[in-house]
Amino acid sequence: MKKILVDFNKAFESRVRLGIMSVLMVNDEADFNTLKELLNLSDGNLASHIKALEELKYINVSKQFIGRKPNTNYSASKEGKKAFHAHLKSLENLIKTQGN
Amino acid sequence: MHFKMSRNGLTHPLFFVNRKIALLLFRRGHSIRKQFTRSGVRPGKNYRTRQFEMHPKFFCFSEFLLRTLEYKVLLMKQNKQSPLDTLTEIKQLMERSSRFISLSGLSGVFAGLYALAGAYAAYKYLGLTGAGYYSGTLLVDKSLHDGDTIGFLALDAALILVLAIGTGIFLTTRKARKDGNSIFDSTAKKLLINLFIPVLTGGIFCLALYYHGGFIYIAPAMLVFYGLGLVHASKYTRNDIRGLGMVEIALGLLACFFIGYGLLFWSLGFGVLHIIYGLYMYFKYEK
Repeated sequence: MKKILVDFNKAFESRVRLGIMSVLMVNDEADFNTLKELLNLSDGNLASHIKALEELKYINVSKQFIGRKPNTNYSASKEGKKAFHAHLKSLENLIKTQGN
Repeated sequence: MHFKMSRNGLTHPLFFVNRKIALLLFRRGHSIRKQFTRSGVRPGKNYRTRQFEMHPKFFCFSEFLLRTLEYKVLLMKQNKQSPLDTLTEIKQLMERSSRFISLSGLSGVFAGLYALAGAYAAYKYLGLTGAGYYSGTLLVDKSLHDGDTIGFLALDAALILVLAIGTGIFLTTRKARKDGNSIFDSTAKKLLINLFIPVLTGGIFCLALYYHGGFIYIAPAMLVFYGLGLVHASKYTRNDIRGLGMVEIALGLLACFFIGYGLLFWSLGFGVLHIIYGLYMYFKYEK
């Protein structure tokens, strides 16, 4: 049991962070408001989780202006994708061992 | 009454779960009760006795506090997700963020009905002018050069398009609102852009066909390009749309060889297929 849990990524323990990553895995990029709507979060909550992922370099951030409004786009980085896949695999392994 | 409340509070199952919290709640109810008697009831002869009377409102209130706590404990137990739940949630989130799933099946049914009605009108009109766009007799499509006929067909087609799109938008908006999804988000935009790249190309191609007098190829071309559009757009909505697109393409190609039955193939592809697929989607996802 412990062996499996080694692969578990601490960063994805939070459902919000896991949600952000799964959205970014299937979309090339997503902006802040899209993420907010999809995950049903408040601005501050989402921002803090994004910051955590950004510090781990799991997501790339690009800021630009549309007219005068700032628009921030997020995309999953290579490391982020790798970490996410590893996390999913460990989840699947856990299910398999539970089933047996 | 006071005794009853204390019994309720102290023998409540939660009391044994967390003695401290139960006591706290009990005291809180008590102090609020005091406040009420002080502010709400004029101090009089029986002020002291009233202080310990249990107003039914507060009995409810303290009960309510205990109950909410109970639910919290229950929810805490439920919140511990199994890995399987997490995986399903990830899958759902991935679908919701990349696919437009609010598309209503009924809008397909209505689009099919409009198409059938329009095709029937065209059939009647062409029957009057003697052009056999449906019976295979029309190999040299002279009568279609007639400006009136083309005008009628164009109006007919435009009417079908506007009605179908209008009903589609209405039903899809209704469904999105019911499901609590946003109506025009990035997935809807992606879906429309990817659908309309082949469809607009087909539309312009059909104009070119008309310009050069290739009327008989217009219905097959419409079917083929519409099918390509659906296949192309299926990545951004329910995957079943891909199947519909494939069938439309096949029907269009078939129509290319059976020249002269254009209207028949057109009403099959845009009418009957839409109704069948719309009903299928409706019963699969909305029932």
